[in-house]
Amino acid sequence: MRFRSSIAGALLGGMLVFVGGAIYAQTAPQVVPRVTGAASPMGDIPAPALARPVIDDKRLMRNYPEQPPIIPHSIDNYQLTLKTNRCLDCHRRQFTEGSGAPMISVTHFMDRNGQVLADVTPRRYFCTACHVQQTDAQPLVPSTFKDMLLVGPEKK
Amino acid sequence: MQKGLFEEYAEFGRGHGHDLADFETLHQVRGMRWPVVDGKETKWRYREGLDPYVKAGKGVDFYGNKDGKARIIAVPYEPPAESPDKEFDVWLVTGRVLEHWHSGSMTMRVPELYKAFPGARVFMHPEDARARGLNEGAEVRVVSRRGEIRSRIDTKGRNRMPRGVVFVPWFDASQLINKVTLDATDPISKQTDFKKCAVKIIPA
Repeated sequence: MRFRSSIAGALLGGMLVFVGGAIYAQTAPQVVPRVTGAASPMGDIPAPALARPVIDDKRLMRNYPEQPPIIPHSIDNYQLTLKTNRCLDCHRRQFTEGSGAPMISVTHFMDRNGQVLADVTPRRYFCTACHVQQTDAQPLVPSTFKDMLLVGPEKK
Repeated sequence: MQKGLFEEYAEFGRGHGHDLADFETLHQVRGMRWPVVDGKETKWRYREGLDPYVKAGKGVDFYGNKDGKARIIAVPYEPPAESPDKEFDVWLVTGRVLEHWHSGSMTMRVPELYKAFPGARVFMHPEDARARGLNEGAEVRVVSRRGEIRSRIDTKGRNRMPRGVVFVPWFDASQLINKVTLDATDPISKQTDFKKCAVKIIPA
């Protein structure tokens, strides 16, 4: 009896070590230089090439309704100053027919009191304050983010 | 629950000049100038007739101080601990980018934020770069008297630099710009001087 229980104990212990090892292997600290620092942080670390902007003109789904849409095209050498705004040359209402670009959202015509203006409101003028490009950089770590439609009691 | 937390916090300020409006009101207005007493905001603080905490006949009363007078503090000019010279010929300014909060320990894990701004770089004026024979994307060393890092040049990105100044954000743990920055503290404000120092930019 004692003999059998010690075998069971050994088996159980072995299992624990095995399971523990598997958990550790999944959560063991990894070197992801941009987040954790390089393996030898004070060394001479080469800088990887700059990631390239994604310019495939594909309009991507927004991750949540209020997300400012990303810029799916090149904006190299676009001037965005007090005097000129290259983005509006296509995205302003009166130019969209010719350019085929999406019109800036109606919220961008509203001043801060909700009054709708004839043209883009000054507080929405600097497009790149909210709209950015994405690059071809690959995410550093997996993400468990779920679309809000997929969480909560009613799954759709 | 938010209301409970807010009201508990607001209790600390009410009755002595830091009165916040109540929870519902602050959801209806764009903002209110405090103290908000009996639902009315204070348009001119420390002024009799407009600030309910100023007693009649006082005119102007900085009631936060015992003598009712404002404190105006002047400090002498403090020159930078280090300025560019012949060898270390550009200003380095360090700071942040919109996508990454502090050192990016969380924001660097969000795919969209990471892909929008995946790593530190050296923002430089195009003519400063040309004078050093550097193209957009070239690898460089940012060298100061204390240390150096390797990074990449960006001449046409979001930050348009003036001549003689480069900017390197510090969120990227693989490009530790604080190896380059200065170990100095402002003698008056006691702020650490990580924001500016003299460097040279050389091809890597």
